[in-house]
Amino acid sequence: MRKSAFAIGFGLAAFIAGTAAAQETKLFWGDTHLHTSYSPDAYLMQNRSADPDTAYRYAKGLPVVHPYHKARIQIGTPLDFLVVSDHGEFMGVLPMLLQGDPLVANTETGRRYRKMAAEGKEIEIFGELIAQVNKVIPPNPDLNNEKVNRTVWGEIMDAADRHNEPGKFTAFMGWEWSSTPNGANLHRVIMMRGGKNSGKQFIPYTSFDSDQPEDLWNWLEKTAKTTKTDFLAIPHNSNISNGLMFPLVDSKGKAITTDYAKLRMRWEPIVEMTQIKGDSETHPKLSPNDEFADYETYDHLIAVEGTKKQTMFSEGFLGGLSERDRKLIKQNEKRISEVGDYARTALMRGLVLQNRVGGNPYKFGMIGSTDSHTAMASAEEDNFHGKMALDSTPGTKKEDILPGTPGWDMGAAGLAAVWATDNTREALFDAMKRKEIYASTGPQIALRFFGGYDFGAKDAEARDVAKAGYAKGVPMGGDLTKAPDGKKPTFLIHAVRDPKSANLDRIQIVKGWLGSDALPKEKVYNVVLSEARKGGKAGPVGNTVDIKTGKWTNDIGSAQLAAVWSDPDFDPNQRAFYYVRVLQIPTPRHTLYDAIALGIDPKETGRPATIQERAYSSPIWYTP
Amino acid sequence: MLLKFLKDPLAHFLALGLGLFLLYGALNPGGGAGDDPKRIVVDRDALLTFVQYRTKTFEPKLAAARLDSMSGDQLKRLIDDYVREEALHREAAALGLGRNDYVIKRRMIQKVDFITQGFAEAVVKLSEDDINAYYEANRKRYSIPAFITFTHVFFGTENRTPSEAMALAQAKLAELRRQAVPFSDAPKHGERFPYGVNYVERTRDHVESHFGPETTQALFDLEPDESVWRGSFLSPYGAHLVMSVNKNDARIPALEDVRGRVEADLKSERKKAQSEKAVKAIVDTYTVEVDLKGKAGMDVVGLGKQE
Repeated sequence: MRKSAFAIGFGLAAFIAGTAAAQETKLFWGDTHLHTSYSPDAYLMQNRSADPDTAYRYAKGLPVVHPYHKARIQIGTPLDFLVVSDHGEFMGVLPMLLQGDPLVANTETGRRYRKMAAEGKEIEIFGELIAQVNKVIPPNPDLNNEKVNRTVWGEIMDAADRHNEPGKFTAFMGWEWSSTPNGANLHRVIMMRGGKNSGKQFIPYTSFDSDQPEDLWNWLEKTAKTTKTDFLAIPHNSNISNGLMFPLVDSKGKAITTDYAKLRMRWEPIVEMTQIKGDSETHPKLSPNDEFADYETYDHLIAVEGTKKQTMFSEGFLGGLSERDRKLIKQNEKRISEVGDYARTALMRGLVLQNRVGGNPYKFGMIGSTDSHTAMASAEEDNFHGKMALDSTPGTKKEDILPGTPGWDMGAAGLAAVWATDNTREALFDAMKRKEIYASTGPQIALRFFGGYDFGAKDAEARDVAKAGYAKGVPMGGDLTKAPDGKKPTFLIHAVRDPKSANLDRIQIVKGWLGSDALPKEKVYNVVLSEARKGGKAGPVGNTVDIKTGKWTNDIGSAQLAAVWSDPDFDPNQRAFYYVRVLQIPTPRHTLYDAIALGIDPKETGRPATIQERAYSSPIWYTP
Repeated sequence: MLLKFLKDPLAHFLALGLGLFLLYGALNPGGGAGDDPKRIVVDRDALLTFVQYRTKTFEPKLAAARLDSMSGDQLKRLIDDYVREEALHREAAALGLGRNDYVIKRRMIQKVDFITQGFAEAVVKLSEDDINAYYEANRKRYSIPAFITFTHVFFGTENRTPSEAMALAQAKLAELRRQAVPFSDAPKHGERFPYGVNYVERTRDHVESHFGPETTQALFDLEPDESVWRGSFLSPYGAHLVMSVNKNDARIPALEDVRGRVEADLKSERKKAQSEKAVKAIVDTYTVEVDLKGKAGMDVVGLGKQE
């Protein structure tokens, strides 16, 4: 009985894995979150000229002109795909406004003035205008009308079609839903699987329509059906969501149910967890034993600890448990204010919810992207062009670009990596849906990660680990079910450095699991280090960066690392997830180059001089 | 006749004026600073604008909601701030403080610039001849770089010296030749190279980032031959034996293959030229006097001297 169940289970796992492995998967790099001059905030922050066309050209590797300082710039390594995701709210209206587009100027008043002009009174009109041109020009509610939005959305779709070259470069259609209830960031990028045939049948859903994610998902459901396409909603910047991005309750304050989990996972299978406005993997307060947890921590707009009410287990949640359980949980409860803010704790919270209510709404894959507002998908520390057009030079980065946030606090990050069968809209989209994707903070680190029960050390030495990976296990984003008797899950990992970046320091695995006390736990394991270390088993790799010149060498670290690892603390009855974190050796942060250029002490930038860039894989879940 | 008029730069100048006027009219219906300069009218529109600029969020419904939800005190403070700003702005304007402020000057120029560009775009129309001529004149820009297809066998230098790696490679070369190892069997020999085994139709940039400049040059110099193994070449990672099977020299594609890019480039160039013309027309309506001697009897050379 057990054997046949196992056979069926294995067969199923193999089938799921096999659908992708039937064709070889290749690695593609891109940015799923980019703003051009069509976004009102980008426009106001001095990006007047870098439009979607510029964005695609930059991503493809062509030299372009920076919208603020006007110098010629070029990406270091061209990308394979791009989503231009301008804000749905007021999309493109400001450029149209200041360019005197007839659609915008065609109001009753406009018509009256045109009549006067026909009577030959132009010079008088002109004189009056010059006298008033100093007045601040406000966006008019009339400009957010359907006609205007439809035209701009049409332009965005046309630009995507113009630059889409199946097999060579993929341009997706998308936009950003910018919900910010009470200052909390709940933004999602929406990307579409199809093209203009579907896109022309709707106007992007914005936070004007609703700022609640459930309404967004219902709209996506309805629209996908009627326009015959598919969507992905990708949350980002959970680090500044005030604990609301991965909550225990829904938008109406009710405890999460299986229906919510199903709906959320249908539309949000992946999360953008590293970008210019900081890294959302974890926070040093949440992971005090993780020496690499304090990476690109972006604290702006996060409430001071202790002022937020949300804890790991809210009162409403505890209400459903027995008296004994409640006591136990209360004793161990940590009053941490940022659980709903970070990916690792959110993944753990997902295990808790799966266990208690039967559904996991936080079973997401992970990617990085930039969220750049300059139209440049720039995530290279030595070639970083700013969050906004304004903070793109050493001098301007010193100043605040958002309240209390100098340009120096922005990270030169991140990118999305996808293992897909081909570089087309459909293949990349499908890979994202099945979570065979991972995040990078910038460098194009190649990463293979498989989980199964039969990997051996020899598999790590294969030329192409994917062959054994797909044959004997599931790729990143996949699921392992109940372990066969006496067996532990084994994980096959191969990481290769970015040829234009730095060597690798180490491969780690982050495990999150639900203890027998129903409390979530985490642990970081060092799987393989690049070389023997001074000062003990897993000491730091060293640092070759010369602070005075910004130069560094690859005398430390390794070009590639590979291993098969099995969990020494495995308990076959405990739900768990495992994801890989690969670290580079230390390299200069973009602010170090600024400090050197300005002749100041790097400490004045308020940020470390060097950082260890990294890649995070999507998890593999173990569900007994 | 109308078309000709539209192309005339002076028409642009006038259209500019009209555009600004329409602009102002569309956004400030009924508004006007023509009345008493000492009278500040604080209406709902003014406050909504003020709130949106302060929060840098242009969501009128949100701004309206925020405004409506303000307590008496908050509203009073908001109005006070608005009035303060408006009063000081008018004083500054009355004192002519904006006249010699370069920052304000630049901002105004930018506004006029955008409007000019908008009109320029509307006027640009491309004919088939235009596109052909542009393509012919700028063919080099659309060239496709050279690319090659090859496979290789690798011995790394992470745990040995370059000369040791080269020696191993040389020995392997003899074996590969002796056994006439085909392209597809390359993965069975040598060690795992970080960046893979086969390079199919790869450009110089891509190859150079893995193999370094000297070896890349050597690879591009090779004449492709499916039956020959060559080597050893040295890269930053180790020693390589190579079988090159295809090479495409850099070439310029036909117009039909790059029509989209050509049109877009030509359009943007024409737009820029039209804008320049319009700006020149505006400048030409002014008479310019150049007087380098200086004012009020002050000798420019003799600094600080006064007559």
